[in-house]
Amino acid sequence: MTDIALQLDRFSVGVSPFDAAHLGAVEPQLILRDLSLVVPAGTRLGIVGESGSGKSTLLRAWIGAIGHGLFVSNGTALTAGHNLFSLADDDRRQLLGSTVAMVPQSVAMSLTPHLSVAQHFAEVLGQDTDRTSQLLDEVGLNGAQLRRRFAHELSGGQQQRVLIALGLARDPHIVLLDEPTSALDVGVVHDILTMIAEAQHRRGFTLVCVSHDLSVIDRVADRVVVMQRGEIVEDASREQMNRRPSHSYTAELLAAAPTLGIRHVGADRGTAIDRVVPAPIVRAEALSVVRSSSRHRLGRANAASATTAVDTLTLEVFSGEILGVIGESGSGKSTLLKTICGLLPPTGGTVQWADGFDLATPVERRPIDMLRRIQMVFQNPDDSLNPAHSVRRLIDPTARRSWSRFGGGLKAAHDETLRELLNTVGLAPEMLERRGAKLSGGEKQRVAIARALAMKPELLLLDEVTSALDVTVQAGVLATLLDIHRRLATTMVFVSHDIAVVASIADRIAVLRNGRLVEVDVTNEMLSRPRDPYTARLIELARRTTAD
Amino acid sequence: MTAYLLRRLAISLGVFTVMSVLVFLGVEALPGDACTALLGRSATATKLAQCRGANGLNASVSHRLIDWASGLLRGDLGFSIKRGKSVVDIVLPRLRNSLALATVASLMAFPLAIVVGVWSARRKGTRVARAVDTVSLVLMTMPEFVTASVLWLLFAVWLPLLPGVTMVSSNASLLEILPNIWLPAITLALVVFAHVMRSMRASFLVTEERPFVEAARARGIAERVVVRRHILPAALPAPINVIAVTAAWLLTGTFVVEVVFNFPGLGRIAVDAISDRDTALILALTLFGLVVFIASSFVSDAVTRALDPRMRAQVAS
Repeated sequence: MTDIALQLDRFSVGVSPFDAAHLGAVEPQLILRDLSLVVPAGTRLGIVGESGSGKSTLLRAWIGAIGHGLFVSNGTALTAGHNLFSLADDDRRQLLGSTVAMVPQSVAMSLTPHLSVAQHFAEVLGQDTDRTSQLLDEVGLNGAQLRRRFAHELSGGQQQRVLIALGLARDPHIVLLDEPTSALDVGVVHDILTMIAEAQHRRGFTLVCVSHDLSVIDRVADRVVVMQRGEIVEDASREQMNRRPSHSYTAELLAAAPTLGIRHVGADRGTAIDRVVPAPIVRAEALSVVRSSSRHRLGRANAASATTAVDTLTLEVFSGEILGVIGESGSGKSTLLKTICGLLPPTGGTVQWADGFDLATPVERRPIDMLRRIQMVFQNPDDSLNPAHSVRRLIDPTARRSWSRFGGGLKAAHDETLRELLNTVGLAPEMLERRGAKLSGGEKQRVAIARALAMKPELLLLDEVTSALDVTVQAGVLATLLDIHRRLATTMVFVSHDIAVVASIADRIAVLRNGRLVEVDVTNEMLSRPRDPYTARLIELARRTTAD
Repeated sequence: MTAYLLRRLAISLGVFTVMSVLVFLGVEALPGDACTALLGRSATATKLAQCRGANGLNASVSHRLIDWASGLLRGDLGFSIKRGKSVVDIVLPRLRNSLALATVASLMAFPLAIVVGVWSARRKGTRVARAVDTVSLVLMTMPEFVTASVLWLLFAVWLPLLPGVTMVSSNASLLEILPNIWLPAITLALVVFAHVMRSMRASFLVTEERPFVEAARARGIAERVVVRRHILPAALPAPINVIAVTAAWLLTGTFVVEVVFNFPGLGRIAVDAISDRDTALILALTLFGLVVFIASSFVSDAVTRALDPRMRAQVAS
């Protein structure tokens, strides 16, 4: 093995002319621009950047597979001295897995759905079952128990561990990790990062980890490369970067990352509870929601596929507050929102609006005024906005015939009102004619919020609205939400898996676990004196990943 | 899986029962009956009454429905007044011919369609692949009688290799029928091939974009293995569904081809039966079509499930 594990020499990757023409670009577009980098063997390198920064493309360049529609326009990328782009397919394949291994992210289903764990290993190891068990053991999984399972029978964390074990199977000198922890719960993230660091320490391979999350990079890397729009804007040791980032973008990234205990600008306006007499706008008492899996067919009742998503939950949402709801996946936080807005029927207990209206009423049987009062914004704006519609059509309640019955003051929702609405969510008025498909992720989410606000709601339900966004974009959207709250005093329920994000804007926080309420308290109270050990652990994990 | 199959079978039987009653009532609702069709212009009130009396058409609808259904359970499909034969005797030899035709066409079309579909997906964008794509599109859109006529010209007239028109009766032995099968079978195979091939190709291309395929390739797994173990099992359900529908069509929708080649299959007799108002025969043939479609969707569901562990698990629970 050479002393240099990975190398880039004036390496550029462009969109092939044909695809570029499709996208309407005049000049050839570069995904990676003129990158030069030397990574000595044994380095633990972190590459951080937001979506579109080219970090994943760079990672794939080192296995010689940058994907359809892209081509190397200049320079070379060397992996253990080989240029994988110039090797014959068979020779390249020889190096994959043994010299360099790529560990894909688990969220996107990187395990073949119809092959069992054992079958995956058999492909790279032959029938060496001892080795398989050993590898699964190394990544902290019980091999005997899991080897016969399929991807859908594994949790996200388990899938990620299996993918890492598969990567390590043939003892590679270089391990490339692509977003190894995205979409995993905070506790799982912590365990997996620890496991990765230990494996690297034991085996001494060169580690490259790509993430959008600085705190992840912080945990596994001692050298950090920051990418922005296809360029390397910073290359420094971890300590150096944390202490004084040389590039303004890095500083921006560091500042935008939500840090536990640091309130968002504008969040400390005195809690809502100080300002108004606490009057509940929504009151849930012993609320239970059993969700049956919609996948059972043929009308057969299937008790096994039903789960109690919300379990005897008693919680009040006070008028004018921002209530943060946190919990890991499966804690019932989204179910709670969907129940309040009538998309899911409660199966036990009561849930009521301030005036006594029964919120168990499904959405299609709620009176118009009730529909207007409660608006929901969903996690992924790509799914909730029609990309073919203009922003005007998306946010104008009178543009949809089914909505025109809301009538009244909303009929006057002409341009001025719509521009005002865009202004409220921090978008330029010119955006009005833009198609949904032409918006960035952050812009889409702002449009989704504007659409909810157009109804002049009294309660805004926000379901992981910043989870799909980059940190700097997330910071902007959070600031916008606070601004809206200050101006319109709209009550908000903000659901997230990220306690740091929730704590940065919420007046009170409710912690959910397995459908039950762990505790609910004023934000600062909870952060300084959590009453439940579970909350304490969440806070501690969040502290550890951000304040290291 | 067994429990699933049993449940599915029960539902199929239910569908069959309900549908057969509906079909019976549907035929009943049409104006005229077998006697008006049989007598045609020579029908007088007395003759009609005589005919109806002789054939039991005067009984109430519900009575005749029960009569017919109990016959069905005993394997008696009724009697064709027009043809003076029991329906079973008319249908069976033709059913055999149709099955032979469908089998030959299926064997020619389906395996080849899967192979060519994968092949052309793997060579997407090359000139050969685009040529295959264009040809299949033409085959798909061309009416069968055109394809049939072209083949007929080619192989029966210009190159007299195969008989162009079937001259043997429907009762002839399979060996006698066999030379007459090729041309209609090739015609059908071409149409069916195009559908299945394109579905295989499209499904392969979509599956190939999925992350687990990229992940498998990144592990250095041989391309042959990636295609066979990772892509194909995930890509097959779509073409399998197309195969199920087209296989059913091969047994029930081949009227045009049968007419062109004068092939003694079920398609022709079905059309004749309708124009003759041959109630018993119409019912039998409709029910046969029903069975074919129910069975094919049953088989394709079962195979699709067997390919997907998620479905298997769900069924086991």
